[in-house]
Amino acid sequence: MKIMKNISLFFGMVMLLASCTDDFEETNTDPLSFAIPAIEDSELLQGQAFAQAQYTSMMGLHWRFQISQNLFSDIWCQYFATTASGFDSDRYVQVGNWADLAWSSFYEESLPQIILVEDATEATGNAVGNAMIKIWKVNAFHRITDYWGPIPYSEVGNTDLEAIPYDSQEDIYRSFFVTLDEAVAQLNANLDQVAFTSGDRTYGGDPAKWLTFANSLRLRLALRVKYVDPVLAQSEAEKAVNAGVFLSNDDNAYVSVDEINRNPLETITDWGEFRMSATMESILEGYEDPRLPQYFAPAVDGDSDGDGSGYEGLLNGQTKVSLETSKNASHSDLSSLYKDTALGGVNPPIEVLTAAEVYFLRAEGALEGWAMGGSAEELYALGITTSMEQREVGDATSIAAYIASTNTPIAFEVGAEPVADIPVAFGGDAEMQLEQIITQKWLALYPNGWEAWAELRRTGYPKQYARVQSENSDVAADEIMRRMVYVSSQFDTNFESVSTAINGTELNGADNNNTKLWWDKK
Amino acid sequence: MMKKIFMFFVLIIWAYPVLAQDKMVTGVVTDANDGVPLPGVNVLVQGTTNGTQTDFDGNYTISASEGDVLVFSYIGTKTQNITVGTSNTIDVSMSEDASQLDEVVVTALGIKRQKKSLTYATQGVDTKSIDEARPQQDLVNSLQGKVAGLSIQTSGSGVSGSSKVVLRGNRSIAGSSQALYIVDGVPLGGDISNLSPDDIASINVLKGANAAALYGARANNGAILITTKTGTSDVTTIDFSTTLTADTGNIMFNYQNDYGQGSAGIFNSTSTGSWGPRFDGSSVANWSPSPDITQSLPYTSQSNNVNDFMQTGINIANNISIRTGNEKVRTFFGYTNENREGIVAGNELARHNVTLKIDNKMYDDKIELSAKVNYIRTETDNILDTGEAFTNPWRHAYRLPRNIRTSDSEVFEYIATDGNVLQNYWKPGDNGGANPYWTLNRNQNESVNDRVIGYASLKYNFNDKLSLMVRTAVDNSTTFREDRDYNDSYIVADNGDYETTNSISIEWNSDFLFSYNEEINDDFNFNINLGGNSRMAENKYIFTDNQGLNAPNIFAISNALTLTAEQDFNKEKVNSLYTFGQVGFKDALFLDLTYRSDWSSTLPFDNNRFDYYSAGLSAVISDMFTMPEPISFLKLRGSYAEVGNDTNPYAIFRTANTVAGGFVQLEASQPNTDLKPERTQSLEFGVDARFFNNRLGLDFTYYKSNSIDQLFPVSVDPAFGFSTRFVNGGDIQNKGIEAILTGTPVQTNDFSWNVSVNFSKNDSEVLRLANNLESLVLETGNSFFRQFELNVGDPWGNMYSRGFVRDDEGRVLVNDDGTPQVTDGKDVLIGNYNPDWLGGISNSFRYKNLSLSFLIDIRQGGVVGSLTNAILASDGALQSTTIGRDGTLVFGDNVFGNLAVVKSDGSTNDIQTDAETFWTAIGGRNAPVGEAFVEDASNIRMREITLGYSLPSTLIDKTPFRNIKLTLVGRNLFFISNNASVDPEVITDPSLASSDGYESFSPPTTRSLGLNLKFGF
Repeated sequence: MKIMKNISLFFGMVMLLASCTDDFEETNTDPLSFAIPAIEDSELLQGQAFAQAQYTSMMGLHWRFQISQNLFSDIWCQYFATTASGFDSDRYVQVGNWADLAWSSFYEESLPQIILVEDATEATGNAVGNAMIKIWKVNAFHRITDYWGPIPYSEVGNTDLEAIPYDSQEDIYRSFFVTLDEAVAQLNANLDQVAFTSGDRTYGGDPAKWLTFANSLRLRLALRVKYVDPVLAQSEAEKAVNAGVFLSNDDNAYVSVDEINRNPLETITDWGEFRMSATMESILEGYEDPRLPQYFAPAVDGDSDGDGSGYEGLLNGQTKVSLETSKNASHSDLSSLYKDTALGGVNPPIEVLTAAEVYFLRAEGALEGWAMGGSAEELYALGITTSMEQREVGDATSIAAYIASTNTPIAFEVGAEPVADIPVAFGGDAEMQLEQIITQKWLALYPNGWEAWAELRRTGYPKQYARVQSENSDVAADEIMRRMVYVSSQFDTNFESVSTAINGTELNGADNNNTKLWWDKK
Repeated sequence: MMKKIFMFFVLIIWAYPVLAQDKMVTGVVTDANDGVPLPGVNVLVQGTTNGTQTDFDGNYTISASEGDVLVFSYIGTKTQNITVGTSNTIDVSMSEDASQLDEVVVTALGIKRQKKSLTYATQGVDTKSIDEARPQQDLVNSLQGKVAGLSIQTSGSGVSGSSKVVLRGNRSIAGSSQALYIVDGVPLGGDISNLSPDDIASINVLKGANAAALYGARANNGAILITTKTGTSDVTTIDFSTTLTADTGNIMFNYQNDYGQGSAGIFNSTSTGSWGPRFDGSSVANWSPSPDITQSLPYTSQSNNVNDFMQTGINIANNISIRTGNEKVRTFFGYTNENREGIVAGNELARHNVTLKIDNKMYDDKIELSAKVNYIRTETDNILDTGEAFTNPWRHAYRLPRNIRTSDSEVFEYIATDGNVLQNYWKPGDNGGANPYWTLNRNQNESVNDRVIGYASLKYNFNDKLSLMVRTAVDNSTTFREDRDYNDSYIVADNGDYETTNSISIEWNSDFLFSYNEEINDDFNFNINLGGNSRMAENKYIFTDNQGLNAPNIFAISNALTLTAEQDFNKEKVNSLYTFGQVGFKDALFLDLTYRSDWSSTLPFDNNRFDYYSAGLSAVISDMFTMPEPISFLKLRGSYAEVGNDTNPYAIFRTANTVAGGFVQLEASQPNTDLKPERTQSLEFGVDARFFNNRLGLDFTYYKSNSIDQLFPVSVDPAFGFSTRFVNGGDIQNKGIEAILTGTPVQTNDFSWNVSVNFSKNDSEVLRLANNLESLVLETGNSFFRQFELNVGDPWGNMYSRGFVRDDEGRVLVNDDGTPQVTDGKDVLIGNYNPDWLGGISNSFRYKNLSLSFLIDIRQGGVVGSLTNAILASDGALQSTTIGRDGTLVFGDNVFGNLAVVKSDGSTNDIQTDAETFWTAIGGRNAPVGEAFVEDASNIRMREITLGYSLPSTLIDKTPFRNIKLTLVGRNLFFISNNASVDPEVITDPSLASSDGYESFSPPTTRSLGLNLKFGF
């Protein structure tokens, strides 16, 4: 039995050894990542989280950009037409997988960063950083509500709730203005503070720059609600202009890119899936627009339709059958600026809001008789001039000649009609002037299709060629897509809320692509 | 070389020991199957340590007294007890033990036990032909069709790759359902795909969690136990084996040969589809974008252009094994060299596999020291990318337009006017398309894997009853892979792309085990064991990429436009203590008990221990009661086990990662800091019965397992600020039966016939997911075709896709343009992959020195969905697309005539459309109607045939050879019946739970035919 005693002693020791798990906590700590408290404690890490919020909310990653912007709003506002036969969105099909990823690219990638930075800056008393994330939150969310309408907004991040409710677009827009008021007040009180520095991919944390951005954003949102609440629109627009908006391209808001986190267009142009639209060709060629070579390249095959120009636009909504024949060589790709750097591209920063757009917003306000610091015509001309300067085309003389030009859009191919009949030179009745302003804004916004599609819906401009084919029974080929249908993942994970939004007053219509959003009231 | 071997042989003869004797018993031991002398048979005087082994001619000599019992044992044969009589010669013929009832089987921790005492299902695999009919990919494929309850699906990656191996159904929602591999008692970190079949002595499959409670949590999916060969204690044998096999692919898609490139009936040389005019032999424009290739081409059918893409794969394997030793030291050495060429040019593998295993007894056999090192180096060129990877050559080969001539497409590049070398492709720059020969030659990869599996074990025998074993074992694998994609490959960085991947994985187990045996009296014996294990597993990799190259097609990291990199690391530790024991009564009733505690680093630190246990009872009825004459053996068994499991490392804290460029990104998942360990509860009952003097045997098992408290991520509304949440939930139930019938219908001296039939049927059901969760979409690899859902109340593995819209009466609705109305989302159940049942029938015949065996493998039921068919249909490449090209296609009439199709007014559809409009509407890549491209996955195939001839000993005796055997082998030779146009067994990504039942540009099924020559000294 001595041996049994020894054994039990031995086992007692072994038990102790085996249950000795002192290093387990360390073993189960990922050396390549860090815990959330570390981010909250470090302004540097907060800034890097802010940078990620900026890049992801603009859909910076190439494939996220493609399935959220390029294949929806960029196509629906007719900047481009797709040449890949399987890309159904050009035939007005809201492809479910892409839309799901568009939703999740914001809510899964960007929103947690926004919540994190907002909470951390508030907890640490970083007033400028907190104002910046508030402004950015408005910028990010207005893009999302402009796609879908009612969305989860006011209660996002509230884990005390069973489900996050949808807010009506009206409530969201009204709260945007309040949030901007708060942010502006915080910035004005701390103009000597700099937040995040290199973590801010737009202004390096300069509060003065963020003020003009906040005001310019307010102006964009104000014009957006013009038809549904003219009083609010006017007061917010005038408040914005009074407080100081973008005046030159030096003010423009971009999200900077680097060699690794690139401008998404620059990558997806390599994939050969879209070309210049017929509408673009009709307008840019008709106006003899000097921005044309900055935007697009001549077709590889040259002048294939015999219209005397090597720039060839493609009608949107091509059938699958017609796309069996490659349209890439016979139509205009993007200009080399937007191509891979190996092909002469410059990997440009991602445009958020520019001075040219701000002038067109002011021009539209002035058209309504609002105090915009100039006449509609003056501001229209400044918009064009600023855009030309931004694209570095022409000189004062040629720009002035362009502004005075009576050129009108032309047929994109022999036998076709021009897409519209308005000249560049400002004139005509108020509606025509509006069409001119928005058409020029559409040109200036390029390649920001997200905003261009919103303004197309709001104003109906620029006029578009009818699509060759619509495969959407709700939206005919000569109509405009009005919104995105809610995504299937929301029906899986937030069924009650999305159902309430559809069935209640929030959406105020069926969950279809032809239901107009709250601000879409013209 | 031969001379040296001969010298060696002579030396062995000379050194052969002459033993002192009371009385010398001699004899020859032969194989009852073919009469060939058996070397290395253990001969032991029962109750003593006096033993020997037969030599290379099957001869033995042993000193024994009259009345002693000689025990002859040899792996895979029935042990024979023969009492020494007056004669000094005892010749023994060892017969194959098909049922292996008396066999000593290797169980947990390398412990050998009598099979009849086991309380759970284990099936030994006939490994006799495993080194002859060698599988072309993963060694485990040798088990296909042989083991009841085992499902194996192979990878589509060519000559290399790991299979998906599932026992008794899928059970894990977020983890692996695959079996654990145990080699020589040590769990591997990886699989057995690169082990050499020549080193294998035996394989046992432990099917349930019951069998595996002692291997720890990972064995809750069952375990595959492999014992490798060891040295001998008396004799030296040298064996050579060489195998040459040829593989051919079999493309089963039903291509049309009437129409070529174009659209709407009009020829277009840049079309990827075959919707052009009917072939008329006219001359058409050359498709090549090369300025130098301009001659017109004949517009004719090229019916073999896809077949031409294949070559005959050649596999050559050579092995030398040396088994040697004496009573104290036994040594095994094996070296295997393999060279494989796939059915796609450039897909090649070269492997060296060296094993050295030494077992040493010291100090009056008090100490047993064993060590093994197995070093495997595998160099693989051009591992085939699978599925929709644009570098998968099959993605492009299958889609060859029907008029493209092989000789033209083989010219895969050209020099453009600007001097650049570009891809010669009919639709340059097309989304996802390529010339398959470009992919073959210009999208290349090579990888080198070095793997070391080894252990060192020391056992101390305190006395006959008590022993202590300590052991440490490692499985370390490092891989370096390079990918080279040339300039002008679609979606590849400009000027080319160069990626490197460096990965290291290590699994390190250290064990101790105390064993105590006691025979209380003649009726009662028991053993009790106490052991511990410390396991560490670590994986890391570094991946480098670029944003394009500076100099075109120079594949060097220094040539990267912008170097980018990814990194991953994970590590876990598990410490365990366990005890197990068995009580035996009258050698007929056995009670098994096990208990184990694990401490895992992956669980919350203050709650990181989980315990599990098993209990089993085995009763050999035929040893307790007198049985009726026909029943020669009857055993009943039952057992219950509950096995715990931990989770992945780093799953309990939410963290953030740095992203290159100065970003910080939060993890999307909200962890559960309150994790409970997973549990699998498993119950089984079985009957082993043999009849008619063991000529007929039946092994029947019923089992039921429930995997509960599983840890898995559930998608939540991302507006919470996170998109998944880890939950503890789930109850996945699998229940089923397994039956193995073995028989020897004919047994004479010259002729014998053995047959073995196995059958298994598994029914799964999702009993529970989590609170308020009735449905869960499993990881789908982002397929556009289908998603894989678990729904409460349904079986595992339901596939959903788009389907036809039906009215209340189930009639399909048609659009005004004659195309079907299709559901928007992937919300139509298109079927379930899991078979209704699996079966295998194996026959082996012997006539004198000639042996023939064949194995028929049956799977019945289940479906497979094919993205390839959906795309080929929208390409107009399939025979089905030739109907109604002139605009006379009527859905529900001349296509899908089995469906009742109605117009919106309820009347029968008569809207005419054309085939191109119809098939592009329902096929294609982005939104295919899965319902239209799902096929019955049932098939019966000739899995394995071997025809062997051993030179008779009368011929061999005069030569230095011990044996010479020539075997013709065939694997996967043909389908006896197959309902699908693809091989449902070849899957895209065996590591995904949702890979089952989905075909996406998989390589064709291949048949192998070969020759094996073995000779030994």
